[in-house]
Amino acid sequence: MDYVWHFGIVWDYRLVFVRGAGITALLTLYSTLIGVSLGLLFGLFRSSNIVILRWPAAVYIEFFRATPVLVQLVWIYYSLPILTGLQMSGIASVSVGLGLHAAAYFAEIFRAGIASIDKGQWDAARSIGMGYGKAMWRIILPQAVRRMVPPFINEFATLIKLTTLGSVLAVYELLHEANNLINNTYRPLEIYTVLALAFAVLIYPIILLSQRLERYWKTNS
Amino acid sequence: MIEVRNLHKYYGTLHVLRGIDVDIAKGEVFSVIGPSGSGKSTFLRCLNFLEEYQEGDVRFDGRLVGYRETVGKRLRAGAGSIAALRTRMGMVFQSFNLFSHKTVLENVMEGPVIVQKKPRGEVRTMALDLLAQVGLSEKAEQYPSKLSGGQQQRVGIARALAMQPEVMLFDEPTSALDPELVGEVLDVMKSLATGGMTMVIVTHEMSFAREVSDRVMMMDEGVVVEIDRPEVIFGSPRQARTADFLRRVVH
Repeated sequence: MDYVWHFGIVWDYRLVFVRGAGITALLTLYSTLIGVSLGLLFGLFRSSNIVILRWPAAVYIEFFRATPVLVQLVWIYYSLPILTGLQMSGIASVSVGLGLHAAAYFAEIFRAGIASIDKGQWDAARSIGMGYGKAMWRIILPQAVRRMVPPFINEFATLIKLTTLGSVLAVYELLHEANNLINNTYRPLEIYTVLALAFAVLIYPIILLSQRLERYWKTNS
Repeated sequence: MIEVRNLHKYYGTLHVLRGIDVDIAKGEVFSVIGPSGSGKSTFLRCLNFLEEYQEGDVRFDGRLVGYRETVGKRLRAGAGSIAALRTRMGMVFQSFNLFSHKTVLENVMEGPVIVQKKPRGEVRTMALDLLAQVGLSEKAEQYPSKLSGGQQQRVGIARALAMQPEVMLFDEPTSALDPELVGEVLDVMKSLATGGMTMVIVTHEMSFAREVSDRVMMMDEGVVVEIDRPEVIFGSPRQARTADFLRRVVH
């Protein structure tokens, strides 16, 4: 192969990448916030012994796990406005769509984490007079969170990668910016290579952090 | 102080407590013995409603535990009133159940500060006193996983005592311990008994039960076989089942 690489072109357009990365970060932030808060709620509901909470949570979780994210996103962007008249911007659509999607996975992480805590911890919390809320918040969740960190980080990293689906809804995140750039420069090899590296640079520190946290908690409990 | 009348407990179709009747007086040290599966622990857990019971009454200071009585039927008591009742009964578990994400001192302070809402400084002083009482002052800042089983169980006792309970419930407190660590836990319990604490103790430590108890209850298959003073139970039991059981465990 005698292809001549011109990475200089990427450097010339570096601001485009920075702009795209900003949108990617924003989409990740919004969808994580939505996903974690709804996920905690659904996770608690699904762990509950109250049927009218548990059942809808289970349906939600299984539905979102059983349908493709891309379909969920285009449905929110194209079908929801027709049904409700509610037209969200691309960024809002992607944030809400990915948030709802991630909520199903975060819910399972919360549920499994809570279920993994020994029943004796509940007994002890109840025996000193704690109700469900206090026991959950002060005794069960803090211990469960430590076990949730690895799968949580995993899901977070997945979410960052899923933001590239925003390109389909004309959101100017990293992949969309890269595609535009390729249309102008005809340099797909360099640009896609740098794009892949950019994601690796974004995501690897997060994985590293999770490993550090795991080790820290192992020595401090 | 505790009155139990015709107490029945089912796990599904399994009938684990089949009509228990007993009164436990203030200041009494009351031990429960019997083969495993006889319902001893379930009985104990019904006293502070960690287990629901389906029939009969458990009363603490005259108040029905876990249910409220209305005309004609009984309903489950509100979560708040069940929790309030539990603060008056300390409980010590076979597997310690210390909060593993909290230090020894935090374990002891958790109940008084968070549940009873006492001032933190005052609770801290009391907690350190309690830890000194169980011989663990130097472990206050350690996490439970750094402690031996015997030390963990002594923290468990201190945690229960921190609520200043009117009665202490012990659920096989030494069964999970290595033999050489049993003594240190029994010593703490003995000094509590001497101090006049009302105690209900489910145990396999027969010589301990004999030494500290005012009365001993022998259970088998969900019923009370007999209740008597320890000299009688361990010396000349009235029931053949008690004699059989003791012959098997005390050799």
